[in-house]
Amino acid sequence: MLRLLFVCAFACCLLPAAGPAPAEGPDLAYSKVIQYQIKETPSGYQLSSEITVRRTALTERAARIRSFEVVEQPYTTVSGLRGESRGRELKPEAITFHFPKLEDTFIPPARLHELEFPADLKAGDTLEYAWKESFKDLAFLPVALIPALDRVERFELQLAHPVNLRVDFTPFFPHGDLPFKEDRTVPGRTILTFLNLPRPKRLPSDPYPGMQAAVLIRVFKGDAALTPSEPTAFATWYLGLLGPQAQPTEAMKGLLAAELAQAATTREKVRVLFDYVKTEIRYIADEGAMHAFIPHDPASVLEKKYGDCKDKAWLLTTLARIHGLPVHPVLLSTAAVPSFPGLNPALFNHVICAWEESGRLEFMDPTATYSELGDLPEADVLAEALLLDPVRPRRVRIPLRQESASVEVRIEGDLAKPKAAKAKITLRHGWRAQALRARKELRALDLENALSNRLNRLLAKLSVDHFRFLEADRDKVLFEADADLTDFFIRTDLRVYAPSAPFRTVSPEGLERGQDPYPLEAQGPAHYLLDLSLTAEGLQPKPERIQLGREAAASHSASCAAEAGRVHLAYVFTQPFRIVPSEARAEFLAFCGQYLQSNRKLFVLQRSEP
Amino acid sequence: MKALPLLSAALVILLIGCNNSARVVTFPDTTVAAPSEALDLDALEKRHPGQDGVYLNRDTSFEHVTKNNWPAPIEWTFFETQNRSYVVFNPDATWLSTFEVKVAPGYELEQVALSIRGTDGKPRTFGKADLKEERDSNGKVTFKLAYPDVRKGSLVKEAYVLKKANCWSAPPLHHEVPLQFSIPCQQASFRFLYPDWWETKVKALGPDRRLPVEVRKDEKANKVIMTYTAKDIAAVEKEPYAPFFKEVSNYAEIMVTKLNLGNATYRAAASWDAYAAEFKGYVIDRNPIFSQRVVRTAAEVTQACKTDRERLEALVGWVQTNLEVGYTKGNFADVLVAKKGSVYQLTGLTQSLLQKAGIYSRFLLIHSADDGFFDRDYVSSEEMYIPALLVETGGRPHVVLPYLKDLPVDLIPERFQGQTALAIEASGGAQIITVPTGNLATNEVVEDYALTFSEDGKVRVVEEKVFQGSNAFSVRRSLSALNREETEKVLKGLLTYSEGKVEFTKYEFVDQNDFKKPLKVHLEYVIDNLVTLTPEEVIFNTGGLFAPASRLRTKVDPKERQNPVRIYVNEASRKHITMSFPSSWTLAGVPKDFRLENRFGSITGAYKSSPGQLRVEQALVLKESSESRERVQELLELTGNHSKLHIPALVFKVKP
Repeated sequence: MLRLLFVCAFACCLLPAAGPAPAEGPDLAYSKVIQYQIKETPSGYQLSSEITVRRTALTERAARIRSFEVVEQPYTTVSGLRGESRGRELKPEAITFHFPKLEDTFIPPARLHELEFPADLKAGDTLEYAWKESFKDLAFLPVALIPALDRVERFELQLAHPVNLRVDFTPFFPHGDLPFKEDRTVPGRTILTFLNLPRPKRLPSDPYPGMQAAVLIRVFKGDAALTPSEPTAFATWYLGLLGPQAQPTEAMKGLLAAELAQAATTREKVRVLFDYVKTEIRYIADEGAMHAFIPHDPASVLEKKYGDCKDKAWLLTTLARIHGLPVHPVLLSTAAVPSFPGLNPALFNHVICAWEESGRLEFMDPTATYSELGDLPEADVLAEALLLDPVRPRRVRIPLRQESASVEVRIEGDLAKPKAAKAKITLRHGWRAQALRARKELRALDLENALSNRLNRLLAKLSVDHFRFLEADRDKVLFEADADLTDFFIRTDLRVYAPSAPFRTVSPEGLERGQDPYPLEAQGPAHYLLDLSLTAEGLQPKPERIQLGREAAASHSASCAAEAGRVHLAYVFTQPFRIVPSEARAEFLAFCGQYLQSNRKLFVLQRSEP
Repeated sequence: MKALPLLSAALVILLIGCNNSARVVTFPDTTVAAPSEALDLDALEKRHPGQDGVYLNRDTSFEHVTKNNWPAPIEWTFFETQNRSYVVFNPDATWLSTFEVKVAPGYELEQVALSIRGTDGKPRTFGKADLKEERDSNGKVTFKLAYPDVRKGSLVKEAYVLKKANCWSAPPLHHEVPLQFSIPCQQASFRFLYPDWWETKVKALGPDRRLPVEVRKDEKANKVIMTYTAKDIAAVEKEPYAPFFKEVSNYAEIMVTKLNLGNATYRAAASWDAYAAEFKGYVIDRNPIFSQRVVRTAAEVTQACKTDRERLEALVGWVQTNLEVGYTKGNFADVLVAKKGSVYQLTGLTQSLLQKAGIYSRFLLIHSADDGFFDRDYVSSEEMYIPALLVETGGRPHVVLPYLKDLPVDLIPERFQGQTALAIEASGGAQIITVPTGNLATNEVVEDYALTFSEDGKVRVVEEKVFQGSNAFSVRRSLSALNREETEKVLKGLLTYSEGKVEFTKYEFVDQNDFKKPLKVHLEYVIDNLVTLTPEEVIFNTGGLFAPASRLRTKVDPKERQNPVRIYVNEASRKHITMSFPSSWTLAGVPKDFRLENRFGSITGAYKSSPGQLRVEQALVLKESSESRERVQELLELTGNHSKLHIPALVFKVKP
């Protein structure tokens, strides 16, 4: 993974977070001052910083938190770590470092420092720790993150810089504006201060939990930005880090020659290369020596047959360009990041590729082994991204191209034998990818559990078991399964009832967010279809159709009808959002409320008179 | 917690003779036979379907080498040699497609030879220079390599030697080797090589189960060579209700019981009495001579207490709340000042505090269930290392662990219940005892629901869950780090209804911070989307209300079961539900009473209907059990993923 460390730095802010005690009132007073020093040298500008954190425990619970981490980024060197509490300096043996064990990273990018304060802290005590950082490049000037701790007394950015430089701050407030002060009274010194911030409220379905604000810092000399925040400047800087492009090796040139020769169209050629990289290059991340940012040489990736997302993306790009195919790397973030007008390395954590033809971009994720050209994993879609087209780098939004349902369940059977229905299940997009992975990696019973658990979580009261694989192609994977409808239908001596909202897709938690205007996590996009066609002797369905929401936003349709002597129930649910845009918020929440409420609405199959 | 540094330094120096014992294990190891038959990948995969790979062999050697360099001090070197080869079936299984070895301070990676042979038959080899090195501030080094071009069928061979050049400091006298792994293994072996004038002991694996090791002598090298080899070893399977690894799998645990080197000699304690006498000096009665801090603390903490029980709770609770785990040099007064001590120091300090408060206790070292069989003849700190105190108040025994925050004095963690423990008297005398087991009441979750339906279909719910014993302890622990809003979120998450649109009117934890009492969760809310009204009928979609007994969320195939069935402690969950509904409604059908009982416990459902009311009692009771794997089907009847107590909907008739 391209560890551009927004998430990592953010986590670092959160680690010491004590949060308020169950009792009323804050239990922690927090302040952080970051002093940046920008110096002009013959070789360019040098950036260093000194960071001081002060924490005053207002409760015993806060006083018990006494271990703090300082993340060393791959682009910084951390030194001068020190700490003080109760008038005593922290002993050297209490300041340690290790290499973190990261879930998806074999060789971690840098060290993790740890300060452990003595256990004798009490409520009312203040501890302070500080460290220095020197940066490899001014462009790595980080996005500042103000954590959602319960009482931030001071958060201050001080930049000492040559007088001919100008510093701009762009704040991002996910939960409403906060007061801050800029001080430019002293030439060569620019300060941004947040003081005594109000206690943050934790919101459910918040895409920015734990963050009160983020600040993008940009440095200019005249009109020229020294911190690359425009696409062209950023691409130039980033591609410059990679050094001169190595000439393609003979192995690269000759790779897949036969397959490429057989490919009839450009799209097929791209697919041949994409398929190769996604399946033959296994995911292993070696992020040492700045490789959290910089991909390894594509020739070595091809030779070793492993790499992380950027290694795979660069290899695919290089292979494509050998054959004259316009494929470019694309930087994006799979997690919600602040929305800034300018760019910063910290705003990306993943690299995919895009193929451009006739002005149209088709995206592909070579890290996602079971994804397809143009069909990305859910985490990639709708992300703001930077297309590293060397000629015209630009910001793009990864589109959602999931016209077809991710899950399509078609059930046939006899209502008199509810346990003996048969289901045909078609899985597409991320569901298809997960099913293919499970099929390859899991043993029979584990595969069965993986499939049935996931589907049974989605489909209330419908149990689907005993999966039998039928076929798979680039669009879908098809299974057959046994469906138990016992709980789906409610039988009385008058009627049989069927649900109108059978998908467990709407979280009641989100409805608590009706009163605020802040970003809302929607856990989409989603598109599901359920269709039941059943013989039902002695039962007459009362025809009915329900339509909630509207297609372009979020919608659910359900219908009950008689068709050729059978009962036909059809349900379609669509939801296009990861984060609900502010203009769609009210409509989306209304839809969610209606959907949950429609749990009360049942379709009726009337029993015939005896 | 397991490492007991205090005892690892127990090397007593006496004036006795010395000797040489030469190194025998060569590198790369040629003594382990390579698989004789050619590798048939298809056959291997067919034999082990769904596995990420298969070990062709795994060999571990531990070797002590001594050299008399008189007049220089005797060299005592320890070598751990690992030699293994395996076939990869799943190249995406990173643990098989990479190499990683951690080297502890005092050790060095002396040699390493790695190779991978692809399906084309071409091998690639790697040495130490190819490894990436991560050295942390404590001197621990991790060496890593990602193998190139790993494919299905790649054959990986790994051999390396860890060397401890100076064994006089923290001598390696206890060794442990797993002999069953997460993937199948065609041949697993280990060798333990030591000077032939030393004495060793191998731990028994069960009452009648000893590892069949072979022992021979290498006269030339003055060495005893202990070996063990096993073939065709199945993979360890993680399964629900299974015993701990060491209870069912093979492993080797060996200790040096006697050694002489030049002028030094070491003898492990020959009996548990001797062990207790030795242990006593470290953490029992380590009271300061001049400081009154321990006495003063005991007095302050217990000044409001009237009974021994109150004093016990006060002192244990005080230590749990105010002192942290982490070694402090010195006596108990130093531990009190630093507010920090090792688990042994905190237990010893608590014993002293109790003593000052007039309460007698014995220091326990408990054998944990996850350490497998307790071999009474294997006198080692690796067998008994969980510190605790055995205290009696009001004729009732308490096993207290003063270093586990919020653990009530009445609660014994499951893995220690019924296990063996060494009870050490302050005088140094010792006795092997059995740790008491908990009672059912302490491992019970009780849930009460009162549902009131109104004519418009809204349901008002008052829900109370009562957690006791280990359940209360674990919920409290998970809550202890949370703030108010996070706690609220957890509370709302404990809501039984999974499909409802819920409006909370009240939610709280009762007695969250009084860990002497059961933990109660009290929720009051209104749901308005679970009831469908028609002129003739009312349908109540029960959500998750009637599903108390499903413990296994996944399917289990009894035919595939590998492990015996083990339930460590008695436990129960009970639901009491009272549903009140308008007088114009009558239940269309009352669910039938149900009871199923077998060797593992029982599930019961009882339903009593009266006008305007339905009372429901449901229970799942599991009994402490140890049964063969064939019995798992019976357990599934109680705990399977489709509970027999589940009722998806209730139907009411509406009076016209």
